[in-house]
Amino acid sequence: MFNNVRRISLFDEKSLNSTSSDTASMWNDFPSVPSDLPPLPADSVPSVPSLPSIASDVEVEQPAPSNYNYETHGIDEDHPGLNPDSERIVELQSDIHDKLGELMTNKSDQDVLSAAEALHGESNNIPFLEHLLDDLNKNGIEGEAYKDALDLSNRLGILPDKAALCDAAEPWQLGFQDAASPMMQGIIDLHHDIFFFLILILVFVSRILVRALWHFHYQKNPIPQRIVHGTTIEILRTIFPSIIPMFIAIPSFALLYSMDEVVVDPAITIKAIGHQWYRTYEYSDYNSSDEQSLTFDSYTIPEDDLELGQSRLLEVDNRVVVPAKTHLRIIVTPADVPHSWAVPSLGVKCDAVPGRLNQISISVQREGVYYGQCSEICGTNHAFTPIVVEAVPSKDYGSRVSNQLIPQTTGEA
Amino acid sequence: MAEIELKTAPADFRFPTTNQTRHCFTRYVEFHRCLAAKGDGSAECERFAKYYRSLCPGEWPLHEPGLCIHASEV
Repeated sequence: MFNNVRRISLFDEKSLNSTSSDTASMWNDFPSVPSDLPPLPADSVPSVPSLPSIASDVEVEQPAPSNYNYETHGIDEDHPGLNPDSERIVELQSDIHDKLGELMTNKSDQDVLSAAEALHGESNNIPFLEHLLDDLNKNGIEGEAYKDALDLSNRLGILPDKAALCDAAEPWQLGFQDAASPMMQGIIDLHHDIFFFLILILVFVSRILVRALWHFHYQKNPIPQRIVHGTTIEILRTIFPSIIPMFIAIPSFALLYSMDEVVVDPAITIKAIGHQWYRTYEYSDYNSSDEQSLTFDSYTIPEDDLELGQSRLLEVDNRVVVPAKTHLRIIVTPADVPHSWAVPSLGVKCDAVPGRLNQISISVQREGVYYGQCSEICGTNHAFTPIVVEAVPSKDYGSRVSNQLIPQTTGEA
Repeated sequence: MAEIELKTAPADFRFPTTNQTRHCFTRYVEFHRCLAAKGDGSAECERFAKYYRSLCPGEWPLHEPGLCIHASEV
């Protein structure tokens, strides 16, 4: 079945199965289309041992791989199924991958592979691939090709030095979103603490229950035991269950009271005002008189207007821009009916009650974009009022806000 | 682009809880008391003005004519 497989597919599989270093040495051993290359017998293929020889009807002696020295000649008349162009394409793609691997020294193999794939894009265009490879060889890190590779791999969502973080709801998500504030981190840690005791109790109670059902089956054991007293076990089963909630309560109360403490003056006050069915954010620290402060509305982006890569029901047109690693005070209030301002990554869910200003103190610990949704039924479009918080570096915060300030005040005034 | 100095109404120990409605109201009243005491346009009162503007939503009708007079008499 494999007798007529083209040589190209043999190399493809091997390059998929091997790391970049293996690929490089493999290419040294088996360069591109030779006109008189003998097919490989199955037992000489190192990484895919199950592949049989390409053409079983050609008898060949097998010299040592390092002695191969072939050139690209054109159509291989002895093996008409082979295509020198395809060979060359794969060779170029593999060389690009190797070169990127040399240049990207601090990235994992997987990242290098993804970046290389993004860069050459599985293209069939030999001049394009040769140009990319030339650029990488000549210009290295400074060149266009390297920059493109990084750019593309970033845009594809591959964070170079860390795993992708979960800051929005994922389909079939089971755990929490990744924490971006100390409060959320505390909540996650408390969850882990309690979960341990939870599993302990679950396993213990289930075992007792199953054991009782099993051993006291009416057919196997028609006369149940008639023990009615047991002082030791009664004492133990009273003491232990009262100790376990103490272990749960200690971290729980610690977190609860630490959430209420306001030890540091906030640097910024942002008002999140809920409307039916959008949000308004006010940054009022900067206005010098009673005229309108930096205020903008935040509407959800409807499904038809979403761009590739955006999340459905989670994206808004104007995000709340906050500086990272800064203490913020968010004042949540509605303009009409009760809403709730919730951002799971920041560990925040604050009800917006008409006529009342609710304050939450948060400090976003890392830059990023965090998504949340309205959490109190507020009418027909309650599901379509998301919240997006974008944390930017503190030094960029000023320019971001003033960029929004200028068009806003000319619009509002 | 000059750095915007990040400053806002400080955390007031008189209002330690989540409900800050009274905080907004108190700052507003303090501002108008300050104006009544020191005269309109005084610079010291600007501080209170910034505080209440930071805390109170812009949509709240705090600038109704007549409201200021009542606030300063509270």
